[in-house]
Amino acid sequence: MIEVLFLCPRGMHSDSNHLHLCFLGELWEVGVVLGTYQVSRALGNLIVVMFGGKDPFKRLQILLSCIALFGWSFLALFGRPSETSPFSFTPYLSETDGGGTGSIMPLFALFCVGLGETIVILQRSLMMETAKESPSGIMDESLVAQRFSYQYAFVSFGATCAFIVGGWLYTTIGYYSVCDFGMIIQALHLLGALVYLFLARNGKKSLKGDELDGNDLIRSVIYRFQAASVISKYSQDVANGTEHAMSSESQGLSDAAIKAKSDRVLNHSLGEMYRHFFLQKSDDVVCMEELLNSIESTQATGVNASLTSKRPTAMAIGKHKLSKLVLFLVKSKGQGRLTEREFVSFWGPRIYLSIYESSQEAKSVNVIWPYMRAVVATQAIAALCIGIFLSTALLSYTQRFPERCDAATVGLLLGIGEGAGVLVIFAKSYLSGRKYKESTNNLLLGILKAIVARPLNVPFVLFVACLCSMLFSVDNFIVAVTFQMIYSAVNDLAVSLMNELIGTSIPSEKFKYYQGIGQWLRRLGNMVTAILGPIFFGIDERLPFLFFGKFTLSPSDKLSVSSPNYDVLTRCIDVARCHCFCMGSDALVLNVHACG
Amino acid sequence: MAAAKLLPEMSTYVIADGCAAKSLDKHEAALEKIANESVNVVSASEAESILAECAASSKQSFLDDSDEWLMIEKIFSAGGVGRNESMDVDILRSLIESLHSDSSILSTLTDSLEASGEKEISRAQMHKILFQRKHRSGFSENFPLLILMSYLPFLYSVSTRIPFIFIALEITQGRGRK
Repeated sequence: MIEVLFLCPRGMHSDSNHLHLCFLGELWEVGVVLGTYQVSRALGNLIVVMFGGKDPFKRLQILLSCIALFGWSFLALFGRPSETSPFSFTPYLSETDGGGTGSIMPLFALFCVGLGETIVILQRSLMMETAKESPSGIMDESLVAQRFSYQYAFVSFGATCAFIVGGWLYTTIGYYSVCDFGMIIQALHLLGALVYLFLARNGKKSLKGDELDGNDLIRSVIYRFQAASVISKYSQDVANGTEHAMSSESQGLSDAAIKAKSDRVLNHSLGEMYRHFFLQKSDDVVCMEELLNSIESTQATGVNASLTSKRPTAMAIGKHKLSKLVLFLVKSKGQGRLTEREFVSFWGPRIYLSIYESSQEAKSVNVIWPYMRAVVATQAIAALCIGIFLSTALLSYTQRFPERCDAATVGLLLGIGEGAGVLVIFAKSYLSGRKYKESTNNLLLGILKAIVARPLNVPFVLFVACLCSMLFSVDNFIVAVTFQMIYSAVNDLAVSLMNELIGTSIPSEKFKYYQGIGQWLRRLGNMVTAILGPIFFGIDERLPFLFFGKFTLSPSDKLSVSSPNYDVLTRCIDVARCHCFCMGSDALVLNVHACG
Repeated sequence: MAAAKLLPEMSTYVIADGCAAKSLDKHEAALEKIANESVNVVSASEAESILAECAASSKQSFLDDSDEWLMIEKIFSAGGVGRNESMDVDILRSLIESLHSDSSILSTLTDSLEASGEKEISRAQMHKILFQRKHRSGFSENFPLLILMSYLPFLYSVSTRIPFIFIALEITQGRGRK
């Protein structure tokens, strides 16, 4: 098809068949350009995740903003006709490609614009800025969630303005005015980033260089105290006789070893302990003696220290010999120095077991229910619908209703839809905080309540979105506009509900991984629709919306069947854990009865 | 059984419509067996409302931020301090020093203790020192937050969404292709 396009000179279409082939070729080009743009956005995300480090704003924000500014500048200046100067915003008559060859090559500069996909950086910085409000640098999660929703509202508001202003500029002035607008916006963005960087540098407090943050910091301190207690008890047992130390080992150490190995915070705390005591001096026995002395002094600090008996240690052996014995037990190899790995793998399981000793069953309930994996996958599949609107709605409106629609009108329609999305999210936040009177007798109200409640609301909203996507293809302007508006309004709601579902039903330590996979799949979905949307549109004007609408509908159906009971069960376990903790019981044995 | 011993006031609920039985007979047999073991059989929606009540009541509990209080309890028990008692600040300081940790939490605690000049510290005071949020006041303190929450996201979104409103038309109708 591309070959046909190149054989077809502009303005020399002899018959309708030839004209159609040219149009198909152009749709391929739309797919390639938009696909490249979406790939660059995904790449921008990947760069932030891989190279962003602890503070991606400091490391990458300016660089990525500069690249995006370069992209817009290139688009705005390359092949610019002399009759229109930059930022003049006046209509011009010349061809827009600097020679009328119809080349799309300059448009690939959008790749640079796509690298300015920095929302992950802004989210991370917002978390860090919130953490600064806590004396110990631990952020308030509910406050962060509230601020994220405001941030998301401004993202949607930005999309509204982009569609309305961009469409209007393109229709009334032309291509170069849109690029000028993009350049101004990106320059302002860069300026804002520089100002924030300056303020952050001069701020009263920034995050410490700790490897851990948030709740992990608290757990790290808990583990340090627990480590001292475990090492002390173990060395006392050794002092009473090594055979006693071996027999007092709790059962389940091998299970605990697996779990301790994956506990990042525990490994960090023990690693810190090892580095402090064992990297200072060359003799391991002296180092171990120092560690035991330090722990002893910690215990001697306590107000009840005088009450504890020193008899067992005093009776058995001296401190130097004890250190030798403990070191012998900790080391897995006879020769060479004690390594950090040996130290961590010896104490890790014991500390883990001492904290979670009787809650092994509770820990083993820490599962990812199969339907949550379906929700993660559905995030990507749902992205197909929004992707198809982003890549093909403009084409669809202008081709199907040429007498009614130009870029300005389409921009206005998409902008209003995005604005409706912001309102729906705010309304959802407002309504979820209100309580309604119970009226269980009303069947209809009961059904509605079940649909609106988690997690059935996710497949329901997705169902509405898919239906709107398919009905948008109806060849009637009013119908198309109505369903496009409804789609835009519920799309943001679906994304927000799925984020909420994943965030609250997946264990927190697995959240980052699953959310990361979900976001990556979303971008993949966007890229697929950017390429296939215009191509399908060339085959049939209704095909992209019908195909991707139906494609998204199937997984959301399955999700609606499988999700509710699993979700309730997950929350039962969470609440049971919470209650056991509140009642002060360390020894939790959790039995989950599932009917059948 | 073990859970019932530990938590005598615990109630057990079974969700009837989460049943994986493949026939109605098996389903009823399962329900009958469960009913004999003094558990409550509820529907998923009933369980949902029970959970909502539980969540509301647990929010009022002082152990809402469990890890925070657990850490404070660990520090106090390492210092050998009983329930409802305060800890001597010197003991706490030497306790922290003996840990040789570069944790920001512990350094914040040490710095605050030095600044306050208090002789003793209670659990509630420690929680306040470590975790009570400092509200931003004035434009200068709120300005960085405004940039991150509204200004930059808005401009980021405008910049990355503009291409979708003109690229398709530019390729099919612009560039001399009308």
